[in-house]
Amino acid sequence: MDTSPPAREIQGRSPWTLAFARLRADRLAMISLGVIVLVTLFALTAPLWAAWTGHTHHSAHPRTGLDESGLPAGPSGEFWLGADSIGRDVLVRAAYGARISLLVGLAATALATLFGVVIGVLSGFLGGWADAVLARGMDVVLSFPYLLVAIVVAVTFGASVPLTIVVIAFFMFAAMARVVRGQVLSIKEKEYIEAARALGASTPRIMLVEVLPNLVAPVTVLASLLVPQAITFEATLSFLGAGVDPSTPSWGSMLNEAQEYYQAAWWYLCVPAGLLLATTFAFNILGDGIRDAFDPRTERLVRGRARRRRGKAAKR
Amino acid sequence: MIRFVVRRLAFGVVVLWVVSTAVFFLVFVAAGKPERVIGGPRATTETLRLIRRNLGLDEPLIVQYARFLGRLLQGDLGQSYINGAPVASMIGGRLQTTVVLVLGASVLWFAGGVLTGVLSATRARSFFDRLATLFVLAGLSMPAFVVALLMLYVLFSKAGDAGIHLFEPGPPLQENFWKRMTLPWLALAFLLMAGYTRLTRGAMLDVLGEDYIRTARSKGLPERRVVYRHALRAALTPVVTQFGVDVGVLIGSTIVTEKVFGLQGVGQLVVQSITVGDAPVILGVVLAVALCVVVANLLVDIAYSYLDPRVRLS
Repeated sequence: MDTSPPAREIQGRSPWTLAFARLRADRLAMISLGVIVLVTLFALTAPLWAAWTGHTHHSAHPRTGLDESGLPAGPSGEFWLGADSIGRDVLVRAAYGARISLLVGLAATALATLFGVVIGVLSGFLGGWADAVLARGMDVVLSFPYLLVAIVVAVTFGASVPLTIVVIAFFMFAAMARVVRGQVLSIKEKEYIEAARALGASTPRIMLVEVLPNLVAPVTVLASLLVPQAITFEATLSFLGAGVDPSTPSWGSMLNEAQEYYQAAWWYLCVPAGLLLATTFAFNILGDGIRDAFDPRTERLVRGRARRRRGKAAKR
Repeated sequence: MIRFVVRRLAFGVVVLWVVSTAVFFLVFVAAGKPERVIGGPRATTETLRLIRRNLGLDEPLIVQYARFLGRLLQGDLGQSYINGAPVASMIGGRLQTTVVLVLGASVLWFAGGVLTGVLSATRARSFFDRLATLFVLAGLSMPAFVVALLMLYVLFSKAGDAGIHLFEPGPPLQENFWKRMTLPWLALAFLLMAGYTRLTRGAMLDVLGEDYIRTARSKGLPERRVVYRHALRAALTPVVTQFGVDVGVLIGSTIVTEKVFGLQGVGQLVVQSITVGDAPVILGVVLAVALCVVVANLLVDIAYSYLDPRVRLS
């Protein structure tokens, strides 16, 4: 599983290269990275699929896509993954849906990370009343019934992709800010910060040069775990009709439409559900892998303890 | 202790105030055209103006806001735009279903999550542990509605329309109670259980390495007593903290679960109100949910000091 560096390699290796090497040795994480790459390719090639099958993501084909009783037609040469309730191509729509999921997931995480880090660093480093206000603000945001408020916002301003991204980022940044603040509070007390200050470094310089680089690992770990949350959040909003605008195909809105047809048309439900689960599953496993790569201690502790206990049991 | 409770309550009031203000300006100001909803598509300009006047919407915003806060302090959530019923009683009528759903799911998920966590911590790296880890990741990756939909699909795709009737909206809760609630409970519990399994496992592994556990073992206590009495109590503190945080998440997932299973609870009420733009009802539900979150967090903090006597509430 994890390869501790062999003794002969004495050349210096940064924590980054070490973490990267550990991640590359983690087979599950690499498989999930593969899944993510595949889903990304699927999303990027959406127009190709449309051209290939001759169906666009909003063109309905009632003659070929529905059977005599008006139910969606199953997978066939014409519709590779079946058709939906008004005869649109599920494959093509799923590919365009992948674009929305990935876009919203990554953009919302990026936005939340940016604001979370800035606010967390300011709050943790400045202390005093600025910290009190910011920290309480995070608590308030975290105790919002966020799904409800998100629905209200989406309905009030009209659902759209940029709005969905902003709303999701708003409810995620507080979690990031809180973690960053905690880290900064402990980094602040380290000797090297004192040393920098004694050398005459200004507060902004200390924040950027001394504090920020030490935040990269925890922030990367948390961000990688926020991506699947953002994707799930978007799908839930779209499922409730409050996500991206209904004319854009999204996995969540496809599932909403499929709800009434799941008995007659399994593909209608299973294609978007399967893609959604595969994507979030892969991001979660990759996130776990990244955490283990940056902080291999946790796994070793577990293993060491288990061995000790087993040894004890054997003696008994 | 009392000072602590008072301070937390004060913070809770601040949260409620922020939430209500934010939602007030969102639904009343930005959404803004309730007279269209009430008057219907054929109302004349004159009727629309009259409706606005009756609702007090022609007054300056700040006056409306003050009036809203004043009513709120008296516990009055206002009336629905659609049918004029008091919002408080509309929520009250739906509360039973949601409470039953949430409580049942909480019991299942807390008990299931903690038990799985303990078992996989005491058997770290075993087959069971690996299976549990996989299950945790699956649970963490699944949105509530996907779990619910897949459950319906797996159970009822072959059984003809037996399932559809069971989950048609409408009949009172008492009818077919157990049959109708089991799936929603499981769907809701499954998703949150995962996080608790992971949390309990981690906390148990930490605690089992402590010196007092070794002492308990060397006293010759049976392993079961060491694990469930000595270790679990200490391991529960982070789990209980998380429970408080998750009340909000749970209520969010309830909205979706109610929709999938056709349960007429508070979640369905708010979704329906949002689609027709019934601002007072939306606001009422959001406030009620926020209140639940605040109270739950307070209870969790108090429970915390019972579990871990070192924690002083001050």
